[in-house]
Amino acid sequence: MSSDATPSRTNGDIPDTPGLNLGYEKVSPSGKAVSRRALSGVRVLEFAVGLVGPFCTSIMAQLGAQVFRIESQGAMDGFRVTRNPLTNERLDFEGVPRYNFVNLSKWGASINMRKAEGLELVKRLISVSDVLLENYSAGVIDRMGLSYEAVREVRPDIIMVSASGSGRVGPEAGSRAVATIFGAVSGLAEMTGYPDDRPHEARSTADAINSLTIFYSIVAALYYRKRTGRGQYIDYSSREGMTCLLGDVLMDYAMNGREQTRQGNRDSAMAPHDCYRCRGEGAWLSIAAGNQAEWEVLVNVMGRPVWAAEDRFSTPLGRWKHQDEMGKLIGAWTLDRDACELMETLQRAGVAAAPSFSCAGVYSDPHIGDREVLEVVEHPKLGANLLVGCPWKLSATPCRIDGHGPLIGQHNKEVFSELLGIPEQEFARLQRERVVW
Amino acid sequence: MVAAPYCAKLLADLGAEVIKVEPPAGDAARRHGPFLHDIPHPERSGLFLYANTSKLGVTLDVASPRGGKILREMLKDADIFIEDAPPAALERLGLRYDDLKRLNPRLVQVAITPFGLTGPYKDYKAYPLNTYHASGEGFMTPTGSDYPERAPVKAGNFVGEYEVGVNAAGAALAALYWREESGQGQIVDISAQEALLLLAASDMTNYAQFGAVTGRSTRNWPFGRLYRCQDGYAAFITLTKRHRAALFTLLDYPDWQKDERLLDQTWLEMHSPEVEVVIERLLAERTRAELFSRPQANDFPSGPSLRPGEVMKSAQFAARGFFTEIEHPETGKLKYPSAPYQFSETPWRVERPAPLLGQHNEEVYCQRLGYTRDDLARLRGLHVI
Repeated sequence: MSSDATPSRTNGDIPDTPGLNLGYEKVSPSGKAVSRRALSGVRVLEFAVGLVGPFCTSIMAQLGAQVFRIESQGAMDGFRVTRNPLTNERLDFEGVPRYNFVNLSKWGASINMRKAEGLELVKRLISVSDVLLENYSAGVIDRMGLSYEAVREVRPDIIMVSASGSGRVGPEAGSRAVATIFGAVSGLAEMTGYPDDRPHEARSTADAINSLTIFYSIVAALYYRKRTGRGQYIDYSSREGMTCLLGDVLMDYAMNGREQTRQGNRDSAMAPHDCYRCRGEGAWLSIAAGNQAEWEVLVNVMGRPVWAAEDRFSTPLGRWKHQDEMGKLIGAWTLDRDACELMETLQRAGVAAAPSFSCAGVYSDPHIGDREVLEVVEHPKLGANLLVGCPWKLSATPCRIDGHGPLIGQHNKEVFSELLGIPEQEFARLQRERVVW
Repeated sequence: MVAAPYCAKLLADLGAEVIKVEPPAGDAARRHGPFLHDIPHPERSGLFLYANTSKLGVTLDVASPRGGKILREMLKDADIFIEDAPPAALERLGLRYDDLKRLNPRLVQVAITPFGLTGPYKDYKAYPLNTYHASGEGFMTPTGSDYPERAPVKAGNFVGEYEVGVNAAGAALAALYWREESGQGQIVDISAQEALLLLAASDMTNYAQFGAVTGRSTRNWPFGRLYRCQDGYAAFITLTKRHRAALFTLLDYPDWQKDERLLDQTWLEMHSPEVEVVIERLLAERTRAELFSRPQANDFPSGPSLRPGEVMKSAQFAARGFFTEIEHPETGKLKYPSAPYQFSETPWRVERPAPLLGQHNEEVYCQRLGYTRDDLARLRGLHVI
């Protein structure tokens, strides 16, 4: 870890042994006593791999839901298989930073669902859960014996979410989909990137967009259930989740038959509206001037250069038409300046400007620091790390990270012995026979 | 203009009754394209029409004393108050949560701003361009760029702003859920910078752990991405040996058919540049439909990069009924995207098209708040509504 990412705060109160009480919200996976939060009392069961499902439920957990992540040594999440970005060495599957991040604050139980007894255990967990989320390819969960009909028999008021690439019906239902694919077929890829280069490949971004869309869908269903007592089934399509963010682009096609495409940083009317190179490697400052007044202020800050007085730059339309030439001139001015200092100068004068922050920039941004967006998380293999917590500031029920992403089966004892009341000898047998595995 | 209205639209989609309060001059989105037939008109902005479906609409100058009073009358029995006022304006208008919670202790206030209500940047000015880049997501976009000297870019159009609205809707519903239990409202402070940071955060874990900064050119995987075909772009990924074997069969390149090394991920990663050159050449000669529009035929994840018109004509979207026709008095019938979820118990439906400017003034002010038609005429004369 580099020096500017050194933890500035520590969670000193994590006890050595996990807490024993599985009552809602009395303890967290790390054993810490916790206070009441927005989703306290909601129990979530998760059969999910990768990012879409896991990141959604991690946010739920940070809002207070009790999330049980079901995994098995026989069917590990592919996110556990990755390499060190610097040395290219394979990482220990229990020490993967990204996996840890998308599974923060959850309880981990391991069940071999290929065994009949494993499926029975899962059904017992379903009977005490409020939400079941799965993100396998469409139809896989049905073949595992956990269709909505089967699940509803065990827990009639459950909210069950199936999140797949294209949804459960239609000619492309059931096709293998990862973020790059649903990013492409959603239309989003085509709309992002440089106009003269290939479309942007949305990977983790595409996943996270869907995690958050699924989040609000689930909470809406929870709210409905609280008022009516009725659960429901949610068939979610990841590609549609992304297409929804192109509403105005699609309306343009519907109204005018226009095929919009990617435009880099360009705006349909505003100029300047781009990132300009600053001093230092990979340093860029985004600057936008939305009207004549902001342009005048920008010109003043630049010290009223001669070129800025040229006719072609005197009107918004002129600046928009000549934005490439203007961009070079502004870029020449920003080139030997510090991006953060220039942001301060421009903002004080009243011009919208912000650096295009790298990871390092975000981690050292004083504003992000002041807002306490980053939290220290201890992990048995990864040590202490500063990670991005749920950044929504709920005044009465603040979000919080309770603990690291669970190791495989880390909370088996709590889940099987305490929650389900399985006697010790029986639990030992289930482990021996690799049902709990 | 987009984030807060879209947040409210998502709640309207879920059945909430949303009253959109616009200044008498109208939401700025009404002046933003795309416009029907490219002719600017406040009732024919595609951006406005999309972000405001299913809402009621009233006009009100909330900065005027009368307007402020009327807003408070509405907030008195509202469940959620969504606003995007800068923190200083919120204070000036007397609309801080501390002011409003006395009026309605059950109110959930959702404040959406570029940088949040606190912190050194709280009063900073920002357009969607700036918040997207401040979040760290812009720096890594476009993924896999071969041009480190070119500027990082934001996501297309208003993708970032809609996503901020998605975050805000989630937080608002969580607060509403808690209110059902506790009877208490609260304020939800949503910073666009932080909401968009969630898009980039999983890529920052390698920085936290190893000090590795992920950039545009290092965010990609070693093999498999978007490739140019004869008629556009297409994406594929191979995750297993079986996937790779299927790909090489599809590409029908004799040199590779019997080469076992190509099935090995590690070998491929080491030799990806030379393999990519051949793949690029092979794909450039074929159409997207030929290669990738048979999703079940290809065992590996693949698909065409669709343009807007292709999205709207896609059979998959049609089978799900994703695009829905909405009739609007100024534009006639148009196809709109609906919602990405299909609820078994409470299906999505559109309640009404986006409101005309001040369309529901009488319904809201007279029928609900008890103002007379004469009052409305006076308020209109004073430019309060």
